[in-house]
Amino acid sequence: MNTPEDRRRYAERIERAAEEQRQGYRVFSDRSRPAEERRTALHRVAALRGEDEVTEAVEVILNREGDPALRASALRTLGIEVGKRQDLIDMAIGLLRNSTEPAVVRQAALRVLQQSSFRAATFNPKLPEYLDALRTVIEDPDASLREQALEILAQRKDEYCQRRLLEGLKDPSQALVSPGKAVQLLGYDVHAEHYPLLRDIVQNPPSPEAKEEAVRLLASDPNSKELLTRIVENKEEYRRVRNASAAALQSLAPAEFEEQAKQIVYDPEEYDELRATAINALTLFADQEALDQDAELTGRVEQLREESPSKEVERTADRFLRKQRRRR
Amino acid sequence: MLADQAIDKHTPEGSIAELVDAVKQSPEHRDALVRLLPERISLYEGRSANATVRMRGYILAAFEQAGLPQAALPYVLEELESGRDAYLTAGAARALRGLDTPTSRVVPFLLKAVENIRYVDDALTFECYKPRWPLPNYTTALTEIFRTFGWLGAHAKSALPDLETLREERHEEFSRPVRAEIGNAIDCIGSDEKAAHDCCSAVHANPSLGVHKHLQKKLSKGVSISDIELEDQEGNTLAFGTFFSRKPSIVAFFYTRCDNPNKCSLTVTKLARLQKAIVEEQLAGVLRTAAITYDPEYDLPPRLKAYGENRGVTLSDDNRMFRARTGFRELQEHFRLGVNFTGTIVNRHRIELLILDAQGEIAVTFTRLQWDIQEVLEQAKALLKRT
Repeated sequence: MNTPEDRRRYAERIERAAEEQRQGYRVFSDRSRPAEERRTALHRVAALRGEDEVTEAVEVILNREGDPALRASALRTLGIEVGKRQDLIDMAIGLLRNSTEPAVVRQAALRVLQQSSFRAATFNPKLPEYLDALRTVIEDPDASLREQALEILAQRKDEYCQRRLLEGLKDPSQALVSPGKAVQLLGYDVHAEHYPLLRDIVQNPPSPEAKEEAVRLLASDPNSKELLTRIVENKEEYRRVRNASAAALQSLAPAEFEEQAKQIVYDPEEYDELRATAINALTLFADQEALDQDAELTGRVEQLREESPSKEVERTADRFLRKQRRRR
Repeated sequence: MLADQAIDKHTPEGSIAELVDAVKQSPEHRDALVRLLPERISLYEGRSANATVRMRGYILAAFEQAGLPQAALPYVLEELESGRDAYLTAGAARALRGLDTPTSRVVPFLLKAVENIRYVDDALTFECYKPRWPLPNYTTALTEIFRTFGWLGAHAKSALPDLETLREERHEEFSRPVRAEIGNAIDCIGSDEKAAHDCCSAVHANPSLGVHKHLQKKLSKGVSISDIELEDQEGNTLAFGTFFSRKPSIVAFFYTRCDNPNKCSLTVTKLARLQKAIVEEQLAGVLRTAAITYDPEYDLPPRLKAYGENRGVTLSDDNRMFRARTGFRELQEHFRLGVNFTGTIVNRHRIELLILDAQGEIAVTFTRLQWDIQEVLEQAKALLKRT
């Protein structure tokens, strides 16, 4: 890259890219062309910038008679400028709020706003308005938009979002998303006060997904040890739920899980994913001196490594055995 | 009225909201709301941080209509000075408008609140408890703060240069409606021609300072505070009475998981500066310092050490960071710590720094508001003189 020839080639590449972008913009801004062609041309435009390009893009975006996919593409391509200008943030918030706008346009607005929210200097004055719009959108009939807005709010540990998710879990008629998704979103900021509800979901699951997600979150609840132990012991339980319970117990009560992990390793009827979790727990948390004396267990892990068709079992068994060898 | 009944951890949030709404209609009962403000009361036990914020914010905002009694003022000023939650800050800014008479002494707290909240402002309402979106209209913390500046009128004259800087030079940091509020505040202050006297102000010079003459020696269950087992940042264990005896000591409370940079992190940073001031005053051999965590199960010795060292704390035999291995609840009771928990996780706490005498008894307290290093040092020196 340091020779004059390298530099010349590099400059040519940059010029080619710039020309391609100019061509792309020319096609995009040519209103006589079909929407599909203009939209495809935008793929060649990395970003719309400069007053003329921004003005053109805004006209396309706000043209309610225009092709929704073209409008959404223009908005996405304008993204960097939106992060720099409060008037464009206002425009995007307006589109997001407006339930009569096509979903694809509103989703593009949400994405652009989410990206812009990292530009604190421009975006902070608009933060209350943005949060207000997001909280409004979580009640929107469009499920995809609703879920995306919930995800953003849940990551911000938003009080209203958490409150609505909990309401939905307690009363399905109030639910904004599936129970599994609601529990997963609550997981961004799980509180001790959520544990009773999560235990209830595990005991009376509205869906296997919700049960699995609830089990994951109970990994930080000391009062759920017995419940999780019972799930791991129950061979009638969904595999994914049992596996999540084993992982939760490994984190919550590693010493107590040790005995159960050994039983899983010895049990010829257990399935491989759970075996892998059990071997992993023994590798990381078991009483090492006791393990050193336990030739039978080492033999069983060797056997699993050789015979199991599961790559995961092979990998965890191999790690267990390497650790044991190092200690000898 | 619910105020006459026991309010505790089992009281539904909705009942608290009803009480607040009732007091707004009957301001003569406003003391019932003041009783709900100490962090340590059972009401907050086991509640999430969000629930705690909801209840406290709604209570604070109600003082605008009910009138702000003096006993509630430290809670309001604390929120403005150190709060980083838009709902609580907005509630506190509103509460000031319930003062009988405006006072210039709240101006520095409002200016601090502007800086605290401008990156975390939010859309909120006090029209009802647990509002549902979409809101017909909303306010924000910054809106409420600047509205209160306007309400102060001539009493906020000292803030005019700062407000004008915000309007002229920093206007891009604020939304259009907030800029309009700043403009309104400046107009209200500038056009208020009445003289601003603060001689009868409800705000004391330092409402966070308390000087104590005597205190309980035994805990209610007969457990001696001296026997509580502490563990320091190196993993050394010792009885409370072993460290907190023979010399006066300055004790700050904190926890490493605190996410408000104006509270625990700042407290420990200031403790480090206080230690330097102690050395400069040649009091190093006669005064001890300690920082005790509210979160003893999580704040194990390595965490205590790293947290202190990262903030410049000197760690030595006379300067330590502690967790209670046993008896944290007793410690909490003994010092009447302003903290509450959901499970073992802190859901709310105040700023607190104590000066203990050579017998480990509380001599001076600095609670809720930011303590001043020089003032703490002066109080410690006065205590040394007395002993």
